[in-house]
Amino acid sequence: MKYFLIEKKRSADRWIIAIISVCLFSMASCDDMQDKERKQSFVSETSVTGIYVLSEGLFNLNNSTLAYYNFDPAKLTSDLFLTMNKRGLGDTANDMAAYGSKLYIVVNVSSQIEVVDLATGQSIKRIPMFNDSEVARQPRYIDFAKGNAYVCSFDGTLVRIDTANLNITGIVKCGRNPDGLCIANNKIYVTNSGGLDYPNYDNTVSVIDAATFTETKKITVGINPSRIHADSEGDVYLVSRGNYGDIPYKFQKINSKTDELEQTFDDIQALNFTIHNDTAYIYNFDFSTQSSWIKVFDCKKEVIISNSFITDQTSLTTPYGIDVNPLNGDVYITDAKNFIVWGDVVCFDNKGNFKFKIEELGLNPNKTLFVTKTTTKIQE
Amino acid sequence: MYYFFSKRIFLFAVFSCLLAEVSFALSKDAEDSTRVYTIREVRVTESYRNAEIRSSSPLQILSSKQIGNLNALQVSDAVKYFAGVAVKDYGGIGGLKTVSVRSLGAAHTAVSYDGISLSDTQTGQIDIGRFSLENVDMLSLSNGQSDNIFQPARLFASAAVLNIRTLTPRFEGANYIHARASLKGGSFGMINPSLWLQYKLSRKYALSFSSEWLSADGQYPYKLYHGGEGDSVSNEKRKNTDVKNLRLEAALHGSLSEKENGYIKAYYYHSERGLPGAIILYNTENFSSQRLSDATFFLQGHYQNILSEMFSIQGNAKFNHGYLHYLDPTYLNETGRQESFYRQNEYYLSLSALYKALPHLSFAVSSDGFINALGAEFESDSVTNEFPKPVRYNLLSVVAAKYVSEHVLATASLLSTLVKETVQKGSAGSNYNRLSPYVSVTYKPLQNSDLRFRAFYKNIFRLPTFNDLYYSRIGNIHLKPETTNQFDIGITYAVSLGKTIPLVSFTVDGYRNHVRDKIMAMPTKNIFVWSMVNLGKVRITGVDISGEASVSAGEKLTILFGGTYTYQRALDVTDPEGSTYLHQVPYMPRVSGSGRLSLETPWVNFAYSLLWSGKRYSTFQNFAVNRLASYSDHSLSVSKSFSLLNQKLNFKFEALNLLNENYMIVKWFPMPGRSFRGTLSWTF
Repeated sequence: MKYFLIEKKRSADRWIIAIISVCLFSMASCDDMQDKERKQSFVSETSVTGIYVLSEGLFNLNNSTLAYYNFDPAKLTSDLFLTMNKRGLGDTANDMAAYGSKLYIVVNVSSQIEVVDLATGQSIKRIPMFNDSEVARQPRYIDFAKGNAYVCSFDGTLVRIDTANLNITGIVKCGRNPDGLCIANNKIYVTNSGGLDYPNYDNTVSVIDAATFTETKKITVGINPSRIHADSEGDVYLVSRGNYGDIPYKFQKINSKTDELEQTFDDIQALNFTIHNDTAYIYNFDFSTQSSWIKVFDCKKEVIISNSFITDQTSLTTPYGIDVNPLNGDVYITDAKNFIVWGDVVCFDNKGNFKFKIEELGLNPNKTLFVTKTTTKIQE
Repeated sequence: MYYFFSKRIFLFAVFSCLLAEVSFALSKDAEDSTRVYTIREVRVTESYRNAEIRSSSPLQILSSKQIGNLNALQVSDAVKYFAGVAVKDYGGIGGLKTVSVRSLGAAHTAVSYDGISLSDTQTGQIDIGRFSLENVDMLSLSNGQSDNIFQPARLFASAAVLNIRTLTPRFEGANYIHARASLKGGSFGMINPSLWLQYKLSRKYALSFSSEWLSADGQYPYKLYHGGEGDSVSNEKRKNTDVKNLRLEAALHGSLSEKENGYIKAYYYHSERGLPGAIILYNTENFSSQRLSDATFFLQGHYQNILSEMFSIQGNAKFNHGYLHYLDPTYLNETGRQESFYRQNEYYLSLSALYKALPHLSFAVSSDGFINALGAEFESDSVTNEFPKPVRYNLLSVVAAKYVSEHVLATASLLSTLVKETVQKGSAGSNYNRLSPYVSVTYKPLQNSDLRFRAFYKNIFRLPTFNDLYYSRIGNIHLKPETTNQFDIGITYAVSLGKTIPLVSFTVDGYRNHVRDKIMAMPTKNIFVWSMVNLGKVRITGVDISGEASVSAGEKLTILFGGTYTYQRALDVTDPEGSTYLHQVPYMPRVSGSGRLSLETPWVNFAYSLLWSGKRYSTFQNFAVNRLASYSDHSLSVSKSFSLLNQKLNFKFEALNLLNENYMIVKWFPMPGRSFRGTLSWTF
């Protein structure tokens, strides 16, 4: 800048400064970014009062939620747990199940079992899951028998909790990174995935005697076993998820009388399933083709009843959890979409006809639980 | 929208009006304003500001003196004061800090150290929190690229360049030694002694040496909301935040003649730190046990020779070794720990030539060849054996032209990138071969006024990093480069308004950027295994404004103001049917800015600095539950110098985040609250 020119340019500069100031002033465009609204769904259902939907959120974001959808009047409470307790569930709520009047929520990364009143969502107790050296056990799944809750955790343990006083009453060692459990014939079956030792997966199911609470056997199954459920005859079904490479998913059956692996259904490469009244609803999702199927399997006859459960044109993006309404047999599938946006719950009747969809109710929804008229007291 | 009229923006606007008022008032005493002012410090500022005003693509500069007034410790602290910049700061001295310019993403910002690019082919982003400001002479940020066409090809190869320039030896009179020793101490157990020394060997050669040690426990308190604001809250302390850094730097500088100069520099940095991790509700302690130890060594050299009036040449070379050790001692695998060691090497050579064809027109060519290699070891041999050990061979060549006349400055360049990759295990990523154009122009319409109009266009890409391509299970070797297109038009203006206001300057730039083939993690192989894919388009429309003014009230009082304001619509435009269409991308505020004010008196100097940011969203959907609150961070310092027999003692006291605002830049990574820092330095 040549200072001696100042007199000549004074007039032009005055205007330039004035213009810039006016521009700045008007341009001081404030923060015009507005929150976007989530989609709302108004659907009705008469067999139950409402549903709980658990969403795990995203890793390290502490955004697991427990949504409650009331059918009449139709109203979504997107995080009942937060609303009732003024605190969040934590990180990666992985599983939930009801026993008696209580709802148990397994929060994996926060390493807690949240026990809440099934009717209100009010927290009764938060049970920290840490070992003696304060390392997180990272609980994964829960199941119940005879007044006890059993929780398997990534640290290779099965923990027993007394559902009356909510105290931990026993711990037993299983295999590596358990990722599923079920109860049959007074025995607890725990799938040892070994997933955190990739590529060296585990391939066993630990059998724990409920009475002595000791491991009696390890049954060799396919590698990377995960979800496991029993039917009424004491047959234990599971999926082994392979290595996500050359070894595919497998659907397998253990006989709980002999504790032997009895059968591998080679034609059913399943990712996840649930059993209701001895009917298994099994799904798979192929990421390379972005396609999924749902098969229906008769656990008594041990044959596939239907290769394609959905009878209409309804398409799911990414099935992430499957549950059956015990009162009318409707099948609820949680759709995680692309895992970074809020997902839906899609309901089909037991014939596979689309009933309704509740949109954007949680981030990575994984579990639906049905609340009947007699239990719910949730008042908005 | 005017309900959301931010107080701070309002103040900024009022401030700019005031300036206008003052300028009208001042025009009255134009007669006695013809004296040339001689305040030395203002001169320095002005010359940098001059470069910013003249540049055809936005250029922002912070001189060491300005940096001194920013209450900043690390390069990342100072970079936050640039317009259009988002520093992703995970909090604390040891926390990762990366810089994204105009919402393009950190991997699009190149960082150069004394003119030669720093690189991290593994992650593709440089942690600018590692770099101390202790020996920094100047920081500059170029959008697009610099107007200087005579530089290594690599500096043409990114969407933005942050240049860190360290102090070079300067001797006055018969002095042959010049040194500064300083000791900093502050909250959360911070101790930071440093020594900087330069020694004149002969008329042609000088040595410089710089070293520092920094240690801190970093356990700062924060408020933890177990949900949103209004939910239950507890007072916590950040854990596993200890950090120990050592930096050693030595250089030999040669000025062989008026026309020939160069340097050789060795740099070593070592750091041991805890990785505090995200706050995990009910399990923070457990999550805070991971450790990181890393080291960087490089040796770099520069040589430049003006062969004739028309020809100049320069050569640059570098060897870089990076080491990183990560340990998670609570991982629930068979060995009970997750551990990895990474070693990166880079060999780099660059040659450039400048040809001044005509008085107004010059041409440059530059060619850079470099090799990047990555090796790794993990806690189990089976994983180690699967590691592909990638090696990338790069050849970057650029031809550039520059036209300068009294009214016009224009540059254009065309960059060619050739990349070939090899691996020892598995398959290698694609080879890349691309051409990237750039043009820029600035036009000064009026003879007597420093008013300029400018514009630039740049098309450039970033390559997939080694992590993107090969990271265990996640990597995808079929990735394409992530491409950006930038359009910018701007106005720059500077004026001197007499001895009382020797300098007022403004730059205003509007821009439109497009990012396509954005590389992001998505579950693609199956539900548990996420992998990297080219998915995502972002459209960024923004305005960056910066202004600066200095006011001299009498001989003894100087006031310097500066401020920046950024407005950005960084919108996801990937899929019109998708549920994130036209949502602001994560962690980008719509509005943000900074302000600084320093007051120099003969007795004591004051400096005030402010950073603020509007709300942001932590994930892809702009739902209220994903919102992160806006924040402002105010800091203040007081300093005093004593001079005695060519020696200078300086005391400085800084109060940071004065209002003790509890805020997060990255969700669940709280920033420190109010803290203090004292510095004692001795210069001779």
